[in-house]
Amino acid sequence: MLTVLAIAGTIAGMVQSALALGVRVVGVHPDLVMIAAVSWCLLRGRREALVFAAFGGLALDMQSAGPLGLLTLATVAATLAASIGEINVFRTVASLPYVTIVTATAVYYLIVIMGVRLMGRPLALGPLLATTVAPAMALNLVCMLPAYWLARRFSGGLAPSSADWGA
Amino acid sequence: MKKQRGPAVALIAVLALVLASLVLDSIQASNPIRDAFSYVAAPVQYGVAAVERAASSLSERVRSRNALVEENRALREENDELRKQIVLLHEAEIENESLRRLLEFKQAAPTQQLLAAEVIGRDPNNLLGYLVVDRGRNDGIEVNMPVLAADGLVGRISAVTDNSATVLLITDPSSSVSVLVQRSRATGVVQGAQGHRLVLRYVTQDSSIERGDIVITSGLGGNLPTRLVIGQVVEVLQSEASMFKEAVLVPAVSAADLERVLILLNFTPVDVAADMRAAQE
Repeated sequence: MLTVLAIAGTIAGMVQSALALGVRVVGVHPDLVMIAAVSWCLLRGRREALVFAAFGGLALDMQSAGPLGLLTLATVAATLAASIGEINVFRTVASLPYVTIVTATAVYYLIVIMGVRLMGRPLALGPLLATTVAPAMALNLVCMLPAYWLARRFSGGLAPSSADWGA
Repeated sequence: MKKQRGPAVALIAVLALVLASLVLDSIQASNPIRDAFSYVAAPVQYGVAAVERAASSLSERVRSRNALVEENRALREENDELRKQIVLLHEAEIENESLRRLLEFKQAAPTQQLLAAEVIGRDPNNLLGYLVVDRGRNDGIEVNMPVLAADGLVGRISAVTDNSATVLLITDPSSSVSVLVQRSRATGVVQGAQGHRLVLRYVTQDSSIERGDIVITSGLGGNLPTRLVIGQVVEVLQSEASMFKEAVLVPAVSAADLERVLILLNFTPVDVAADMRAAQE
């Protein structure tokens, strides 16, 4: 299963890069790998989602001019943030996927901004939040609706994931 | 006896009618016998014709159902093929227009050695403004070569592999270009800003900038050729307290819609810093 997720993550990374060429809404493109990783994390647990996120992030890094590993790190961190939603007490809340994706997007962009700033690139935080982070949050939230539904359909037919006690 | 005479009488009567009809046909235009016959026969003929048509139609329907299904299938295939051709023609038209504009640009600058390249990728990171083109070291591409479109400057080559190159867009926040305002010749620096915008900075307070001004490369610094269009002023940000004026520009080239670019091969960027270091040594 983990091998399949690694391959799926890599493919998702390639798809996101291809979409970045043509699909831009309000100046940004959806962070498909992160959306898929967060959906999988909520449905199947952190362990499987992290494999998907790591390989998907790496596929993105291979096609990015930014420092190698930055998008992997950001995607993994966003998935870890989403794993808070795994705790049973929150699982029944219907809005959980949507709250989680907004939080995960915030974490993702926090890491990416820090990484890009460490590269020595000038980034004005005010315009950045208005022109990139806020639109990306809104777009990822919209994309979460079909992505979560799709992930639920896929995961429905699978065997239960192994227990993860947060160790 | 009576039984034997009947048919003969009828035959004679028919022959007499035929004869009379022949005679009447030959001596006058209208033939009352034929008219009378038509009057009686017409409804029958109509009836027979209607039945024949219905039968024919029914048999035709039965016979042609398979043919119709086949014809429908063929028409659907033809329709699909035509739709495909329309899409391809439309694509070819767009490509043709794009190439025509690039060719016009190339012809307008015959001394410039330009290489056309196709945009094959974009940075998957929303914070970085890079394009990937399908030309690389094998095509003579080097780092810092200017990348143009028919409308103006796109950016600079920032990394090269054998078969592809990464282009740093002028709208990326890490990009800065020495420019001058075409109308007033005021000089400044254009820097990329978030949201695919450009900001003109370091224009002295006594220089004139107005909304609508065209901004072009000045060539200062030696890393880009002169007179390449950068963009147009849409807003002038003036502050009495500031030493310099600033302006917001709309880029001449919308990187979001770019499909093809031109790489300027015969321009060697001058590394001023390296030259100065060499001079000091």
